[in-house]
Amino acid sequence: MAHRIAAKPLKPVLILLRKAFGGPALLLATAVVPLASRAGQSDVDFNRDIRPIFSENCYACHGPDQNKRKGGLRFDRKDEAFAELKSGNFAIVPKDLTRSKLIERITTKDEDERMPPLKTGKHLTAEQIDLLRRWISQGAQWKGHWAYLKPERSPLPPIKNKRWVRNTIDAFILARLEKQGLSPSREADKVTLIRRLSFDLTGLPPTLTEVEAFLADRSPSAYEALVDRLLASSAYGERMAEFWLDLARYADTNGYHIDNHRDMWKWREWVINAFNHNLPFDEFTIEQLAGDLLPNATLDQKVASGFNRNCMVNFEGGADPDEYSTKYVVDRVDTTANVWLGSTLGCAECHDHKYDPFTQKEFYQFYAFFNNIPEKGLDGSKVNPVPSIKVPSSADQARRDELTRAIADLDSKVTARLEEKNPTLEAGQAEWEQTLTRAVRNDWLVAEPADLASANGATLQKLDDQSVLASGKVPDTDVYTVSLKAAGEIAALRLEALTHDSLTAKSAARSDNGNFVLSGVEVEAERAPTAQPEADPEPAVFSPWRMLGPFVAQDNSSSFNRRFIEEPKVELDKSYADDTLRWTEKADWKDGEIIKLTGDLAATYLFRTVTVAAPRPMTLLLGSDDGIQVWLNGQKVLSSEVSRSVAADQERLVVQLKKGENKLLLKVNNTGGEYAFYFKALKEIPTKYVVPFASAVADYSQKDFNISAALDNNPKTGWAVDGYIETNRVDRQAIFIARQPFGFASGTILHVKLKFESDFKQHIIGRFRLALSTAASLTELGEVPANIQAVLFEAPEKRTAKRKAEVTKYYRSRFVPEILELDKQVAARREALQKLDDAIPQSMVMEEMATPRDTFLLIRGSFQNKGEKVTPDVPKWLPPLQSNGPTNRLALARWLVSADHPLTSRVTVNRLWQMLFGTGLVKTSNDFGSQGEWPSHPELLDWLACEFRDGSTESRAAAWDLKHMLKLMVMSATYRQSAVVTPRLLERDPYNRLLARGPRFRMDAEMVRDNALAVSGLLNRKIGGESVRPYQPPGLWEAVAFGGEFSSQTYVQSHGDDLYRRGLYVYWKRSLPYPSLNTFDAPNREICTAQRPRTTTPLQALVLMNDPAFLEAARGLAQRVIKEGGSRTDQRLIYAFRLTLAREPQKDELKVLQRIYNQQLENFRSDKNAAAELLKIGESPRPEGLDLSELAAWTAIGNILLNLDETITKG
Amino acid sequence: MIPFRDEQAKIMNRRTFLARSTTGLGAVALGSLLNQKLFAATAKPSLHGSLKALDFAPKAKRVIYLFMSGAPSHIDLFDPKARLKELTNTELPTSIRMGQRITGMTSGQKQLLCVGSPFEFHKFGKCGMELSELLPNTGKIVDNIALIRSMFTEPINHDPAVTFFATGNQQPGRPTMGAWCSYGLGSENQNLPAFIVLLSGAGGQPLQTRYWGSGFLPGNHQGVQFRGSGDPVLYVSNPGGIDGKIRRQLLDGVQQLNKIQLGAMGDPEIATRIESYEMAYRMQTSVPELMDISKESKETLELYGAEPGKPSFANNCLLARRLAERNVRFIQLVHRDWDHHSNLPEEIKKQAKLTDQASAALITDLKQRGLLDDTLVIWGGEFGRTTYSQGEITKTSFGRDHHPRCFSIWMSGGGIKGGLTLGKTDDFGYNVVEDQVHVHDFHATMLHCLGIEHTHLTYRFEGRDYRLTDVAGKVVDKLLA
Repeated sequence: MAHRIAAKPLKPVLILLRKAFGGPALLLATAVVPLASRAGQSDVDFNRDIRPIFSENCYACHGPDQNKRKGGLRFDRKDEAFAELKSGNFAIVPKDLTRSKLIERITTKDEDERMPPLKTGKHLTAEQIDLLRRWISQGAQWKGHWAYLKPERSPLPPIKNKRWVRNTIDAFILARLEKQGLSPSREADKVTLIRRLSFDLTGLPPTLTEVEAFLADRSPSAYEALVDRLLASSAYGERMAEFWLDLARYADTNGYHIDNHRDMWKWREWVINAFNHNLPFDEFTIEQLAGDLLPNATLDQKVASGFNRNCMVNFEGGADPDEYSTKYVVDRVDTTANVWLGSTLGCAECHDHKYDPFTQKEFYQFYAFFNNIPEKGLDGSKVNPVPSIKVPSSADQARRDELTRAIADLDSKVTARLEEKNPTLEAGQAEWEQTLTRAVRNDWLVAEPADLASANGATLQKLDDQSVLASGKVPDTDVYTVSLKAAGEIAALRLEALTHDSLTAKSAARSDNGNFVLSGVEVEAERAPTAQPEADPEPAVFSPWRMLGPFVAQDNSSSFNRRFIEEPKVELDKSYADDTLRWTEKADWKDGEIIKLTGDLAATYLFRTVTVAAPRPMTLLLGSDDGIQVWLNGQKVLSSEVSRSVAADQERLVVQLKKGENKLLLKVNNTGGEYAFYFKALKEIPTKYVVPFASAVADYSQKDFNISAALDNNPKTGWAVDGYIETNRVDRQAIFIARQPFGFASGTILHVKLKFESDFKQHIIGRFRLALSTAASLTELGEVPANIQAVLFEAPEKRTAKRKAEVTKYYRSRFVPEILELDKQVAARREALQKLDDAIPQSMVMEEMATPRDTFLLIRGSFQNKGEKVTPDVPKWLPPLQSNGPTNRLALARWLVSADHPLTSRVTVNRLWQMLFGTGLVKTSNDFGSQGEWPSHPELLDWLACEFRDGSTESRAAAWDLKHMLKLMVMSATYRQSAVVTPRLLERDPYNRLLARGPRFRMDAEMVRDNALAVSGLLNRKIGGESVRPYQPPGLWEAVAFGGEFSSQTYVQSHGDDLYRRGLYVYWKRSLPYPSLNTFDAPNREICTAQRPRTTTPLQALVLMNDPAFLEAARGLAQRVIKEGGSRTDQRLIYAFRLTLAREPQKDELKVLQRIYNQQLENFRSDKNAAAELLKIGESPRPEGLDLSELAAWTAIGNILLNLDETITKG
Repeated sequence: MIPFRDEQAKIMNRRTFLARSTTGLGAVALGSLLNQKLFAATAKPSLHGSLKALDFAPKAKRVIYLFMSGAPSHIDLFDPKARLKELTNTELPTSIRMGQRITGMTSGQKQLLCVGSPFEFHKFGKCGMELSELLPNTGKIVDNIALIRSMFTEPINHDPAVTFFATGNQQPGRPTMGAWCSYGLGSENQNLPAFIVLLSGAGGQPLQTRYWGSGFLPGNHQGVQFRGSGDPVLYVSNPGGIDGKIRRQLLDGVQQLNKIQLGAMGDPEIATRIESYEMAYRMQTSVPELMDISKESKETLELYGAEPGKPSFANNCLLARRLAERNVRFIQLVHRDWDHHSNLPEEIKKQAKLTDQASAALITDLKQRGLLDDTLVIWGGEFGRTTYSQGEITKTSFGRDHHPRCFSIWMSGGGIKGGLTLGKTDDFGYNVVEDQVHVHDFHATMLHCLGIEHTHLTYRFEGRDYRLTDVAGKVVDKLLA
């Protein structure tokens, strides 16, 4: 794709008509410019003349790919090409044509014998055969491939026209021109030069002031001063970033299937800054490939390492993660090889390279450098695929530091309070812990199981130790029911899952793998039948209700959830809401009637005591408008967040009352309108009810299968114990703690249901035992937060310091209110920090895995087909990797910019050359291999490479100085030539490879946009920042997007200043790039692009004529012209012309514009609506008080000027 | 500022010379860089693309590709499996699955239960081709189509599979079929792009513009999307306040100034720019005229089920015919929403209803206008669907997952044998058992119909000669008329 495609100079206009679409993309005439030596010239150069013939015609069968090699012969290595063949013959014998079998085989008339074989479709020309003959006759001199040899500075070539030469570049260019009998063009005029330089070095046009200043500066250093000014401007970094972003395949979306958003613009900002600071290219390289691995890597260096995270990331449903993680690494190899080595290493992904000496193994050795990133195969669904870091601005960082410090301060205050010597608290805590721990461990009564049943046909059998063993049928799911007899008040139930020899791998489970999932536990308490009917209990004594409220709430949710008092603590003496609310007694409220409350969006607390002579369960019937919550003795026993009208018996609830006084607290909230509640307690003692559990604790829970999940009534979740791991096949226990101690005075029968109803087949406990505890302390344990419960369950001697602190904090906070206060402050700051963090942009970075991933050669490139294991290394035909440290990306990056490396400096200077001159000295700027093109000026390329790699004492430039190299190039006489094309030059050198004239070609897409914005005065010069979304026809994204909850599926246009930012900042969506840039050949950035094609199509004309962005720019230009361009039409026309093109118009040009201006003025005067319509386009404000017809006519002139070939051409 | 003004006359003379001499320097230079074999071939030249000669006499001059994105179920549309109905709710035998890769969407399923098609299949036409009751209209044109029941592909997910069908490679970066045809054969219409794309269908799998992109070929070969609403081609309409007359006046200004510049600089790129503006201007009239189907006869609109002003697949089919009449080289319709992982019976009915009539109408219409002989029409998606159900099978509902190992597409028109059913799959519709056709073979066959030996249409990129069929592909002779 090296060549410029659409407009081929030698084609007649009539044929050009057809080419704009679908025309032939053809290279014309390298025949005209003999880059290679041709028959008739004396010296044959192996690299220039012979290797390309071998590569194109022979390497497929006699080249690097050992699997395809025929006859054991190869022409890519001297020793083997010259070696004796099996037949005893030699393919090549220097200076001996008759003994060189090669000549015989390529010239024989026998089609079966002739090389290359007919079926390959290859064919040697007479000229190529002649070259091979002459090469052998001249001694068959062999050289390594030129690009793999370290570049050296050659002596300057002899030249005649010494006066023309401004620097070394010119000497090499001129030498070639003189050899071809051509002479350079004259220097371009100053206006042309400042425009050319401004675009090349900043991507923007010069302002008129800049043009005038340059024209006025007649000093000999004027040109150099201009170059220095442009290189120092911040627009330089943006222009260079455009060049780099294609190589880096930068985009704002993840690409592939759903193509949603990613945050990478911080990396783009890094690139702009790096160019602006003229970061030496070696550091530029190292930071982007391995910034994360530098010692004490800065945030910037980590961001820089995102270069190789710019690859696409997929997350298509059903795709294989391994398949894609492989693709990401392959992309890194392709990109890195292309960008720094100018090489097609990627061709060796599936087999040895066909043309260059890379083996497939070497591909995977290179791959191994990039295979240690802790990334995921299918990770494109969120912002950002991991690893990704937050990149705070300095202000954000300061605020972050402040909050972090504050949190640490508060935390240390808490710690101080926790570590404070306080013998009373310490002793209290010790006793409290001891009581609980004892209860957990010791206070159990194993219950005898009765009425064993399996819902799905398993056989349950009681063993001597009162455990129950399942056998027989193993159903997919099961529910066990067991009855137990109990006396007294029961606080908790213990379930032991016990191993047994008859179970899978001596586990406690019936599944194949030894694991179980307890999906639910349900316990019903039933009054044990007694000989005599139980006497009626003494009636309960209810205190009158007391009411506190209404508290005004902000919204429905807060009316229910907000704690207006310190729930569940009731302090009857306290006043609330600035002393406006107090507890008041409601002696007239009757149970069993609907009682109205007052308040609209509000919450009201109701309190009473219930006194009983003996512990007993009691049935409560409740109703409420709207939500209701109930606490008994500080335990929450009901929570119902609903919106409804009140009725009797909306909630039925059994509570367990303790002997003596019980405290009952209700909270009723109203979400608007009517407000009421209903309460009734049944006299009769219920004979059977479901026991509510407060919590559950286990001695072991599998991740995501916590014991608490067994209480939630959801068959999808449950308690599991990692039983598929052998060491986990041990006895386990779980404790289920009732909200209140429960039980009937006359004895209780417990009906226990153990449910195994998860999606995991046969994950059923095989042997279990149940026990009961009456320890009141267990009830207390039920109120303790789960993390503290778990601590108490563990053996104290195994408790970590952190866990100890947690327990102490929990215990002490009940007695030291300051701890809670400090905790609140910490929570508020943590929330602020979280908010801040959420707003900080992310950037994807490289990171090494702690344990490196093994890398294997993938046979035929298939991720499912692993071959031999390989370790990181560089291809053998390049200098060896030298590293004192580990063989990692950092070593690789340093190797790329080492002094011995033959490619990095050549490839990079060639790209800079391509940027300025349109074509590189090596035209195939992404292929410096055997199939690449021989350089048009090999010595110049090498000289530039050395200058770049080593720096120069003469010009006091350091090594790897990009600005120095660009300056060198633009200071040359070669660069400064006029770009006028004469018929002679067109014929001799249509593509300007010899550079007998200056560069002239259509600007890149971004430059086309930026130029229009700049000359219209609309351009926003902000540097860096997030991507922007300019005007785009509606529905484009939506027509292709997946939609749903994913990001970047619908186009939300920017407004204000963001509409006028440089093309560089336009949102780059890979599946549908911004059309106006795409139309001018901007790539979709799915993969590394080293050379953009440069086409000319009618779609480009449509964009320039009709895209609102360009019409608005035309209006902006018109406004400027009216404001700044003088009062006469001709003055204004000249001004408009100069704003757009920097130069003065010629008379005939002015005449054309004059005529059209008059014509348009007339048009828009006679049709004022049309003028108004045209001027409506674009969101930028229109100055008041302008004549609309006149402005429209000038807008039309602006439209013409922005459409000119010259306007979008750098010449 | 115009130092070489006096050279202008000479330049113009030279250009006049070139205009007359189509066999002049340009052609010589072109030839030296083209594939040598093509240059030496004897088939008639006269092309506008990179190919200087065709390898075969072309049967088709253009392609209309009705691409069914999301992958329609072959089992419910094209490939009757009577036995499968009896096997519904039984596990897919391992002897049939043979350990082949399945997607992450069903790999976690406990069972892979077969599910037969709930739809009846009938014999249609003289040839007796069996098709589902969902395709009654396609049934009427079976004698003009070749149904391939033995297609297979490699990728198992949408994006790589569509990319593979479009470019012959699963990873993004290569040119698509249409771009290759544009590059190789060029355009025969001065007012329209050689490769045009029309989209329809709401929801379903996302699309990427690279599905009709030019990859590493120059951007002028990429498919240009023509849209049923808004500007039919982006920015083809003049803005408010600028009518056709003013546009011409402004364009004249641009062209006059460009010509002055051409004279001054002598750069032939400027001449190309000038021509591109003329073509843009012609597009401004030709495109809206082309997209306006309201003047089609009532019979024609009814035949397709097209309704002017209401974008649909039917409208696009009618537009495809209009584009074919205008000699557009490659016309690609993309219809979305065939990805029926669940509720297949209902969903596939909907899509069949949206596409069957218009697809058949296109063939009928092309035929009655004498265009079918040199137009190759293709209908199909990126892969097939599984014989086993994704998710639960109920009386009325089930789903099918992605299945690359076999599926059906049909071809019709230029160079293709009508009334042919090619290939067989096993009783489960899971594996091809006869006449398998790989995507590369399909591409090779398509190019063959256009007169191109697929190994000859190449482009050198990064040191390698790439082609649509990668390093494989065999022409399927049985399909050829």
